Amino acid sequence: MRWIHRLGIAATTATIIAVPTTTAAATGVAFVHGTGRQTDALAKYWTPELVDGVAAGLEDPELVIVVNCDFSQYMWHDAAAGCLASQLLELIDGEGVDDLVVVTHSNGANVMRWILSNPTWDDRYPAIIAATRWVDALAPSSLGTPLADATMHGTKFETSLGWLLGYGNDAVAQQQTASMAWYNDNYLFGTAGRPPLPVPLWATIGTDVDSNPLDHDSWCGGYQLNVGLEITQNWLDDCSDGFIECSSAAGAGKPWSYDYELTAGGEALSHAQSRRDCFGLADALAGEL
Amino acid sequence: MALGLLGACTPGDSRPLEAAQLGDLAPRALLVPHEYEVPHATLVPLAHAQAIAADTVLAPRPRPHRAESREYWFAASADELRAGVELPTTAEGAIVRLQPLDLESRAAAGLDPTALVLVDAKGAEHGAIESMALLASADQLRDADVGLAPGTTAFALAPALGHGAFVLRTEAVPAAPRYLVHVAERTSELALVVHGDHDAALWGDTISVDVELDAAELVGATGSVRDPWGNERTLELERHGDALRGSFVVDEQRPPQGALWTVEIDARVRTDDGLLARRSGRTAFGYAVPSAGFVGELSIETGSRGGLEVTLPLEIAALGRYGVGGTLWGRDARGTLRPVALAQSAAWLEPGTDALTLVFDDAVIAQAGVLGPYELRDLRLVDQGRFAVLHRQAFAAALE
Repeated sequence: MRWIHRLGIAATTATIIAVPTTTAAATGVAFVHGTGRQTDALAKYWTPELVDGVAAGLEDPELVIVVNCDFSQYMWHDAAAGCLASQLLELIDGEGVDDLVVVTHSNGANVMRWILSNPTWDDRYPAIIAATRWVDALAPSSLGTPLADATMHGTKFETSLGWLLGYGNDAVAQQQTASMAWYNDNYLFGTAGRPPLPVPLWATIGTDVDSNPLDHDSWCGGYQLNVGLEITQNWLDDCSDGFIECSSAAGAGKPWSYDYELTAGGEALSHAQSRRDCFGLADALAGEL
Repeated sequence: MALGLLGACTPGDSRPLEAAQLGDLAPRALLVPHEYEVPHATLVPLAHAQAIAADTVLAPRPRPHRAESREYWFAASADELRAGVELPTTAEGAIVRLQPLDLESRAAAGLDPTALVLVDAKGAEHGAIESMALLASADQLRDADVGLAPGTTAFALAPALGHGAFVLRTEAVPAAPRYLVHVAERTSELALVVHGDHDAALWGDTISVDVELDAAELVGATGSVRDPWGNERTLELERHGDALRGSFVVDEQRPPQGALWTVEIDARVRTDDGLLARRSGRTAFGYAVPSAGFVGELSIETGSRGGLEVTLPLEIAALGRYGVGGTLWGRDARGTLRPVALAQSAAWLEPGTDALTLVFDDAVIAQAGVLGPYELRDLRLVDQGRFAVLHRQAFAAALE
């Protein structure tokens, strides 16, 4: 059912410069992490269980890349979008992938949207747009998050911002709600009132956090992470994954699924769980390949 | 030299752009940015176009951001926290966050929520167990991995305490010299609105910011403007009807490289029941040094395969990579205007006059089933190397 839904929408936003072929295509998957600088995103961000689980849906499970870039920078920075572009081209040019599915988490979707929205900015971007079938955006921070606002509240009082530089001063500043509104209006496509992205972006939206120690589900993705997110959820709308409000996650592209529609048992996916193989997420993503 | 309302630019023809309207962004004069080196950008000319579905709803132009705040924040010294700081709330269940300030290493400087005491309006003291519905230690918030500062702790006020004029103090000796106190009341009806009259500015522009409040009296407010390099200046606010308004001129000649300017407001509010409450709000806007601009007359040609090619002359003040973008609109069988395609084009350009061309493919126009006269809308000029939006115009030209 979702497959049919996706094809129907995709047909209305076909790019002119190239249309991904559906026959004899070499399909590959790229995993794009969220805020922060990653050097081993496979082990420390996604986990092999999720990556291998999704890759199992490929005809050739070797056609996978787990991106490691510096997403503590603004999305357009060469260490962010430039690094992402180079690593995606390793799969496209290096491995001959011409049917690329990009799985992003959190701010990774914004970096990918930068590439998709700005094809004349960098000569690496057009080939990526041409090869990309769609983006599976897990918990994207498309409209920013009040938690980025909260993180920046103290900056006017601070005499030391060393802690923030360590996490990603620019990436956090970028994901403030006022800032993302501006970047969406001026540099990015896919939000309300803006031109569509040249390829579809399908959002998966986490709606709640469960951190009951007696509930086994709370332990998937790390119990302590979920406890923390259950607390931060109180800063956010009633519908959130502990970091991203549902309205933000659904703010660009099209919703693919709310977590309860997707997961085994209708479980909620917290912001930590939507990058792990929790409640059948890997199988669901693999099934779409 | 504005294009006549009934005029249209036909193939082989050339006309000036329509005059920019209120809400558009257009340079009045060009300026060479102050910078130490030429921006880094690819030298390869690139062009791209994509179809836009007929039912796509496109906003004619961006609207200024409207920040709506049900929260406030302030800095308090360790001594003030020991003595007690005012913590007015307007709704049950407020979330209070305490973040150490002024320390390089602050993970161990978190204020232990269990050492906090809340004093209500009647002078009754409430300990943590009684007054807090939710406690979050620094370790728990660190584990949430959402970017909050090390040492941050938080709690929610127990709903049974209601809301009103509380005082918060700590019985422990704070380890940091100062703390950020942040109170979020997401269920409160008291919302401060902060919005500018523009969302983007060019060198020399004046930005006005309004501060508004519904359902309560705005007693007073202070404002500050922060530039992308972290420099801050006071924003003087004056009464403007029920609102407060502040204005400032943006005249920084350094290109901000995509970072935004922010305006932050701290307001004192009196509610209907006489409570002196607080609200803080922040909004943001973009800024550009006008390093290039449209000049002369655009020309339209029929492409080699029958599409439309719109060439836009430019005056370039500073060496760099520039990009133009615009959407083509056409008329369907009923004569209704609808979006057809988006085109972008960019190249590395030298100072002087040059041009960039938007190419709208014939196949897309044919597939859309539209006819002229076409319109070029949402025309944009961007300095790509300096990450600056230089020109934005909702309606640029009619094209035959």
